[in-house]
Amino acid sequence: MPSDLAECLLVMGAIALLVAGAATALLAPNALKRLIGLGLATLGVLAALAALRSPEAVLVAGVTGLLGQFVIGVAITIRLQEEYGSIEAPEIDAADGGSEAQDAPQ
Amino acid sequence: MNGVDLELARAHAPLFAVTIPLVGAALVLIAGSARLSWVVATVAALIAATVTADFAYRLLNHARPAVAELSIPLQVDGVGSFGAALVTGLSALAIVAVGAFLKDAGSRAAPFRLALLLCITAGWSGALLARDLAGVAVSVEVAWLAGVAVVTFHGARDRAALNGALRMLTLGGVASALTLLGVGLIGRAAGDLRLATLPIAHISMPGVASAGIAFVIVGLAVKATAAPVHAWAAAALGRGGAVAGLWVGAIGVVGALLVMTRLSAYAVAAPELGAGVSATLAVLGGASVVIGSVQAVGARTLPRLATYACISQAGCVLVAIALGSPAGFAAALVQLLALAAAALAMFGGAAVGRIRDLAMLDGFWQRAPLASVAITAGTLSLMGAPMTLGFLGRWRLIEAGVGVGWWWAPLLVIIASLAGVFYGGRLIERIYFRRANRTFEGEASPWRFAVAPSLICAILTIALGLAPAVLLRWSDAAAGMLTGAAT
Amino acid sequence: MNAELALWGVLSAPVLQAALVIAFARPPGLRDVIHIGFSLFAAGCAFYLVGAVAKGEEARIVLAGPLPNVDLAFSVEPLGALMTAALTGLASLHAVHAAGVVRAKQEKAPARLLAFIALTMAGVTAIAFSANLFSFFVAYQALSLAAFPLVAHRGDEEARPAARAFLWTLLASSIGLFLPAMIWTYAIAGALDFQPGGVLVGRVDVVTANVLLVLYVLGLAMAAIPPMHRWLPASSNAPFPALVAVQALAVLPAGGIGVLKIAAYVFGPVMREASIAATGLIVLAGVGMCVAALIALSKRDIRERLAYSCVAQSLAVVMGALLALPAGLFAAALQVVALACAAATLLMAAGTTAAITGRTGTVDYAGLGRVMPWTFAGFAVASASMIGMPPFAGAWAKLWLITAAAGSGLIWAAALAAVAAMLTFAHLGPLAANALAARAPTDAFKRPDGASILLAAPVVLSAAATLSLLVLADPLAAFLSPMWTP
Repeated sequence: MPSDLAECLLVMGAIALLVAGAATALLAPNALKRLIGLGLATLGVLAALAALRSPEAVLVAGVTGLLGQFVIGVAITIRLQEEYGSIEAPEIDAADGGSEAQDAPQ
Repeated sequence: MNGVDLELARAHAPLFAVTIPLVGAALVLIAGSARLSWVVATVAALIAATVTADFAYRLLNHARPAVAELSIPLQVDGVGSFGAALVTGLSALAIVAVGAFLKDAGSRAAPFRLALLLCITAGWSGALLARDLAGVAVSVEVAWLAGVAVVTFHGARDRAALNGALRMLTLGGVASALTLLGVGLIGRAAGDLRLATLPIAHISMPGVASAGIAFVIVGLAVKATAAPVHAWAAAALGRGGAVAGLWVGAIGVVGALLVMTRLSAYAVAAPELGAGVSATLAVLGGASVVIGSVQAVGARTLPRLATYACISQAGCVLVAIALGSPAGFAAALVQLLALAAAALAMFGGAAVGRIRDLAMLDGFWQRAPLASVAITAGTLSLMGAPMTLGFLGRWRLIEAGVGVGWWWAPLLVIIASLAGVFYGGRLIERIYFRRANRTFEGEASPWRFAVAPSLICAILTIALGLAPAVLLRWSDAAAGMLTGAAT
Repeated sequence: MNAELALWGVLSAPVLQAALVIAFARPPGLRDVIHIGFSLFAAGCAFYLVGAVAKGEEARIVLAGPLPNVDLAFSVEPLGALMTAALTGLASLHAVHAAGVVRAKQEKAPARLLAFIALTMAGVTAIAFSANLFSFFVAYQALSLAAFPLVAHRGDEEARPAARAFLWTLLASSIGLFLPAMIWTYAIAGALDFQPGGVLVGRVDVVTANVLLVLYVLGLAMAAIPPMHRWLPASSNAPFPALVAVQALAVLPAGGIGVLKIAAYVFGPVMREASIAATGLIVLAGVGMCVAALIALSKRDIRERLAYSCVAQSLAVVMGALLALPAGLFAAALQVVALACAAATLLMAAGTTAAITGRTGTVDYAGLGRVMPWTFAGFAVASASMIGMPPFAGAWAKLWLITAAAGSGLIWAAALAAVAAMLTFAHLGPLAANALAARAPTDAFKRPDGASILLAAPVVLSAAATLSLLVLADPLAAFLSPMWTP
């Protein structure tokens, strides 16, 4: 681990934020909550990168990625609301006819 | 253009491989109409493919091509050049096929979709030619987000695609976060992000660097549909339509695997990182072969079956990379070409016939003989049938695996092939030995020329399986130039 | 003509034959002329190659170099030449018979049926002449795929699962067992070429030799060694012309040829190192022979009875090849020829009977010999050969097999072969006798004119071929001697 204790603590905190955000993004049933989770995860990474004294290029890449994800995510969420009348994953899956359960072994 | 200009242009080939698709994307947006934008996109893709193929040809024939010194952080190496030529070549073929499906999401959306497709090409090419890890991460992100947008556009025709796009975005987003974190950790531990210096870097914190490279690999593995981190694949590729199948399922997956091959080639050369990289890739590879094979056997739609079959093949690629030897990397490149050709043949053939459920394949031979041939050749290659490119790739993997005492590598190949017999046999039986399903008799390609790229891939799959000498020479040369010999 | 040209001819003729039969599906007369003509041409080439080998000529064709140091190649050697001559000769007779059966039974898609029969002959020919394990593996897979449409030909709910079981058993065993053995051999020897004296000589320890032998023999499911024999009974609902191709002329003989090539050209003297596995497999084959013959006895449908009878006979080939003596290899080679002659005769006779009388139940055969004397004379001769009664072909094969077993000190193996012969007598002898001796049925024929010459002549001629070994056994021993004399 980084020798400097402060740096170490900062990185640990940022990784905790990343883990919490990632868990939300992967597990939350609501599309908007997923987006927020994704944003938290990326912010956590940016914080970690800053703590690790990464080059600016890496930070810029992170910020650009975050913006791109946010724009596309919002567009998807709006389209989901338009098409399904909901942004809750269970309802969307049900409306798709349980497509995720299609591949039961024959 | 005189000879001097031509040589100058050729010296900038790596730059053109990335910029031509991006310029093409801008021109496509200006073109406006669906057909004109498709023509512009096709021209751009063909130019990019020609430029990269020419460069790779010269490089891999040991012609030591001149490379211009640029301020843009690009770096030429064997795997990167081979991969860029493969990605741009595939893109040129796929963009021809896409002409038949331009209006699937509405005429007005066509230029945007085409621009996104070119961004995918530029992104993966950029990642394969980037000089440092930051460049790789940015390029991959561009390609990935463009892919998510392509799947989202298909929501206008099939709303289930939106669900797939959301999964892609969230899982891919988490993967991108991990990749970035990994890049940061490697930078901190090695003090440099350049790929070429990674093998010789003085790594002050091996643990941190190992964690970093593991994060980068897992982040890329998500995009390469490696199991068990492939949860987005079935939803996005199963319902994302023909364009997503071709560009995310074929080009995206192959691009991600090529980038993993390139990064791993540098990472395994670093004594502090080699063992960890190898173990991570081996675990991902083994899981992909087993899980992909089982899921392919249970799949009930052709896009899903193709996706899972590709996951199984991707597993073989990962195992080959995990070997960490030149023979392993050469085997991975052969397998990647096999995977690319098979995926394009299968996804393209399925798209031409508008095939979703496997029942739609019944008697498909009578409805669309050329598309049937393409799907059959792709299936045979993914099965690892002898005399196909798939068999050659697996044989090379076995040779390389046995060479270093990895006896379980042949076992994985056999698992993939056995599953291939099951799902491939089922496909072939439906296509050739069942009566045509009357419900689908009206279903046909809106434009028969769209099958041409799939057929080309099918022919490549067989032809290179029969006479692979040149391919083997190039793959060996590419694997021998891992660490920027041509810079 | 030279040997290389003849090799090209025998390999490519069936493929061209299949394409032309499909292209000229109508009129049926032209289709049948093409089918029979090309079959005769292939047989002519094969017999020429036998002569060429006898004169010491060599020929090799390299079609592609798909792997480093491994070619897709075919070469002429005594075993391949003999097998191809026997099988393509019988296939010429079967071509005539098949033309008659598809007309008499009005089979659906007759051109497709005949085309895939031709392709299976191409497959078995390629197997017989394969110059290395890789070429053998490719030809084996191609033969499996070519035979699959024959089993699935009827396309109904019964045929489809049977065809799937057929294909799955053959391909899965070859990929799951044979392929690993091939890879292992390549890793050990660095080559895959078939060579007299064995490619593994001096390169393997006892454990490796034993494991490899098990993988090879079980991987060759076409040889029908239990539990890999499922494909054979599964194929028994196919049309009769397809059955002859699968059980008598192509798939089952390909298994026998495969085991022989492995024993002679991959293992050679190393079979002694693999004696534990060989003994175990001989037990499996011996017991399997008896059980298969017993099951055949319980079957009331002639197709199922003959399928199990063929399993029993094929296992004699495996037993002979595994005995690790020249006498065993010779017995196995003779048994492949004898089985092909007898099984082709029996199945063609059963096909003629089904086409003319509509009968496939064994109890319905009583007295049919009175109204179809030529067909059932052939049936009786072929049954006698299957049982191993002198002077028919099966007798010489069994005699050599028992001699080889006794020579190896495996008296119990000889006893098992004898028990299987008795059980074969039990399930074929009374059937043939009853057909010839019982009172003729009054309403035997569906059609008043009975069997045409297209349906009767091939049966008689192939039955006559079972007498061939009476005069050919000794010259064949000399002809095949390069197999076991490096």
